[in-house]
Amino acid sequence: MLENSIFVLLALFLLLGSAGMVGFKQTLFSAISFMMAMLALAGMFALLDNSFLFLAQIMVSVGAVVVLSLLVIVSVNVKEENLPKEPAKFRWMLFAVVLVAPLAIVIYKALTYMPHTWAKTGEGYGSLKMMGMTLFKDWVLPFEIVSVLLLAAMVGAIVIARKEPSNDA
Amino acid sequence: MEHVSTTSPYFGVFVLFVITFGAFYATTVAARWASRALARKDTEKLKLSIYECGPEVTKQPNRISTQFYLFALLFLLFDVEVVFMFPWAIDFKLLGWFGFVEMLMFILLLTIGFIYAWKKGALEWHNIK
Amino acid sequence: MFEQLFLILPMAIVVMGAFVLLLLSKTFSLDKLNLVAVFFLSLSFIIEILRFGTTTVCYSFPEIFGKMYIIDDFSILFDLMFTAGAILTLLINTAYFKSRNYYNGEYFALILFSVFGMMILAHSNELVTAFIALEIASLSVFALVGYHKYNKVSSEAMMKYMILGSMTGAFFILGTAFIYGAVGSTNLEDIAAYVNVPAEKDLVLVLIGGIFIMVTILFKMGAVPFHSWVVDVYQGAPFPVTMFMASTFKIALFAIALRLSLIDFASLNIVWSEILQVITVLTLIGGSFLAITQKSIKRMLAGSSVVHSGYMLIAYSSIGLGSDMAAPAIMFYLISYFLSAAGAFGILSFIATGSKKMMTYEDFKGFSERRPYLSAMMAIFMLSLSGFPSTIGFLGKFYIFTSAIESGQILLAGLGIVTAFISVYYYFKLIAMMYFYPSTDQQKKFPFDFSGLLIGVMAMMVIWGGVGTSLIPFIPGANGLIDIAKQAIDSLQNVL
Repeated sequence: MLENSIFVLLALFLLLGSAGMVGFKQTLFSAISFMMAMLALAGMFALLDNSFLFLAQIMVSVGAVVVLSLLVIVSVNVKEENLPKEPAKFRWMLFAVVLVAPLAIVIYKALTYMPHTWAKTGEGYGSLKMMGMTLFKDWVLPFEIVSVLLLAAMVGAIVIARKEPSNDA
Repeated sequence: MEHVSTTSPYFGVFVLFVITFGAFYATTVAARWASRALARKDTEKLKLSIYECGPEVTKQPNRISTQFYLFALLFLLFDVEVVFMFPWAIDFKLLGWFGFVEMLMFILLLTIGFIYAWKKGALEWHNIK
Repeated sequence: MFEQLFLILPMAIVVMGAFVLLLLSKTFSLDKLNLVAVFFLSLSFIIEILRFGTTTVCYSFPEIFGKMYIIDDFSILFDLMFTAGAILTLLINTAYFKSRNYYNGEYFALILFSVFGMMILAHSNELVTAFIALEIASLSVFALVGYHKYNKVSSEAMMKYMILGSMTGAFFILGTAFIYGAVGSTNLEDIAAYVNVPAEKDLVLVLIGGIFIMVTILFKMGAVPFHSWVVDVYQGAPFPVTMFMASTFKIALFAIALRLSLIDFASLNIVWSEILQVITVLTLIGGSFLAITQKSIKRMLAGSSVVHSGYMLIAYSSIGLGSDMAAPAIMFYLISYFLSAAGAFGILSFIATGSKKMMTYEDFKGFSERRPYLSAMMAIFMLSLSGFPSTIGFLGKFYIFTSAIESGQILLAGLGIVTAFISVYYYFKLIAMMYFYPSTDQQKKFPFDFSGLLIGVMAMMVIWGGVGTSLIPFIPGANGLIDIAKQAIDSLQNVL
C-alpha cells in the first residue's frame, strides 16, 4: 500500500514535470519542471530498490544535466519579449498528442503483455555491489566502449564549443 | 512484496524532499500567477526606470563566453565517468586484478581525452575575455 | 590469447589511430595528420582483406566479453567498406580541407572514432553494444556536421540532426528494453532462440521492441516518414562530411539492419514486410519528389540518397517474403551506391575547393569544355546512380528488382522501376547541363593531382563492376562481387 501511494505520487510529479517542461513559455520554468521530472524518476528507481540507478540519476541527470541547462538559461538571460512567438502552441501540442496516441496505445499494449509474475529478486538485488559485479563481469565490452563514447563526445564538445584563438577577429 | 528502500530510514527523507520540491514548485507558480493577477499595472515612466544613484543606466552587454559551457560539458562527462567508479570501488576486492585492469583501461582512455583537452587549452581560464 | 587479440586488431588499430591523432592534433600539420589517419585505416583495411573468407565464425574473448563481439565474413565485408569509405573521404578531400580555415586536427580523429563505432556496430552480437556503437558513430558525425561552426547553415544542420538523432536514438534503447522484458537477454542468439520457439503471447513484446529499433535505423537511413532532416543536414555539412555520411554512415545502418532481420527476427519477418512495404513506397515517392525539386546539386544528391534507401528497402522487405537473393542484393547495392555516391560527392567537393558558392545546375553549364575529364567522370557516376546499363548501378538495381519479383512483390518492383525512370530526369539534367550548353569561361590548364586520379579509379571501378567480365582474374568483377556478398550472408546464417 505504501509503495503504491508513493508510486502514484512520484508518477504524478513525473507527469506534471514533463508537461510543465513542454508547456511553460519561460525557459527557466521549463528547466525546473525538468528537474522535478528527473527527481521523480530517481524516486522511481529508489522504489525499485536500485540504489545504483538512483545515485546515477541524481548525480548525472539532476546534478549535471539540469545544472548545465540552468547555467545556459541564466547566462543567456533571454527577455520574455525575445522568446519565440508560439501563437498556436497548445493547439499544436494537442495535435501532437493525437498523433502519438497510437504509439501510446502500442506501449500500453506492450506493457499488458509483460509477464505478470516475476522471478523473485535475490539477496542484495539492486545494491551497488550486485550492480558492480554485473557491470564489470558480464558487460565488459559495453563498459569499455562507453569510455570511447565519452571520449568522442568530449572531442566533439571541445571542437564545437571552443572558440579558436586564430578566428577571434 | 517487501522493499528494502521503503523500509530504509532515508527513503522517507527522500520522499519528503521530492514532496517539498513539488510544494515549492507549486507555490512558486501560484505566487507568480497571483502576483500577476493582483498587482496594479502602473506603467509610469519614472516608476519603471532603474535607480542607479543618478547616472544613466547603460545596458550591459549580455555576452558570456562559450568557455563556460565547455567547462560545464566537461564536468558532465567526467561526472558520468565518476558514476562508474562507485560500484567498482565497492567491488574492488571481489573483482581482483581483472577489475583493476578493466578500470585502468577505462581511465586510460579518458585520460587521453583529458590530456587532449589540456593541450588544447580547453581548461585554461586566461583566454576568456 | 594472442589469437584473440589478433581478432580485434583491425578495430583496435582504428581506435589507436584516433588516440594518436588526438594527441598529435596540435603539433602536426593537417597534411601529416591526414597521412597518419590514412595509414592507420589502411593498416586495418589490409588486415581485414587478408582475413576475409579465411576465418570461421567466432567470438572474440568469449570468456570476458561473453558473446557480444562476433567475427564473421559479413562483418568483415562491412569493415572493409567502412575503412575504404573513410580512406577515400580523406584522400579525395586533401585539397578541400586546406582551402577552408575551419579545419583542424580533430577532424581526422572524429572520422576515425566514427569508423570505430561503425565497426563495432557491424561486429556486435548484442543490442546494448550495438546501441553504444551506434551512438559513438552518430556523435562523431554530429560534431563533424557542425564543423564549420561560424557558418549558420552548418550549425543549424548540426542542431537539427543532433536533437532529432538523439531522440530517435532513444527509441533503440526503449525497444531493447521491451525485448529484454520478453526474452530476458539482449544477446541476438538468445533472442533468435526465443523467437523461433514462440510462446504465442509474448511475441507481441518482441515485435513492438523490434519496431522501435527499426524506427532508429530507418531514421538514420532517411526513410520517408523520418526524412525531414536529410536534405538540410546534407547541405549544411561540409562536403567531405556529406560524402562520409552518404557513402559510409548509411552502409553502417544496413549492417545492423541486415544482422537483425537475418538472425534475430528471422521468423517475424512476415510482419515486418508489411510495415516495410508501406515505408518503401513512401520513401521512393517522397525521395523522388525531394530530389526533383532541388536546384543545388548537393541538395539533389541528398534527396536522391533517400530514393536509394528506398531501393534497398525494397530488397529488405523481400527478405521476409522468402527471397534468397534479397540480402546479397542489398550488399551488392550498398557497394555500388558507395562507389557512385562517394565518387559524385568527391567530384563536388573537388570542384568546391576552388570556389565558395553553392553549386546549382546552372553552374555546371558547359562544364565539359572547362574540365573534360572531370565531367566525363561525373557523367559516369550520374549514369551509375540512375541505373544505366553497363554501370555497376544497373546491376545493383537489377538484383534488387529480381529479389522483389522473386518474392512476389511485383507492384513494388514496378514502382522501383518507375522511380528509376524519374531519377533519370534529375541525374541526366546535370549531364545535359555539362555537355549541351556552351561554356562561359575559357578552358584553363589544371594541374594533375592525386584526388583527381583517385576519382578516376573509382569511375573505372563503376564501369568495371557493371561490365561484369573478370578481365583480370585477381580482381573480382560483378559476378565476383555478388559471390562475395553471398559468402558474407552465408557466414551470417551459419551462426544458428
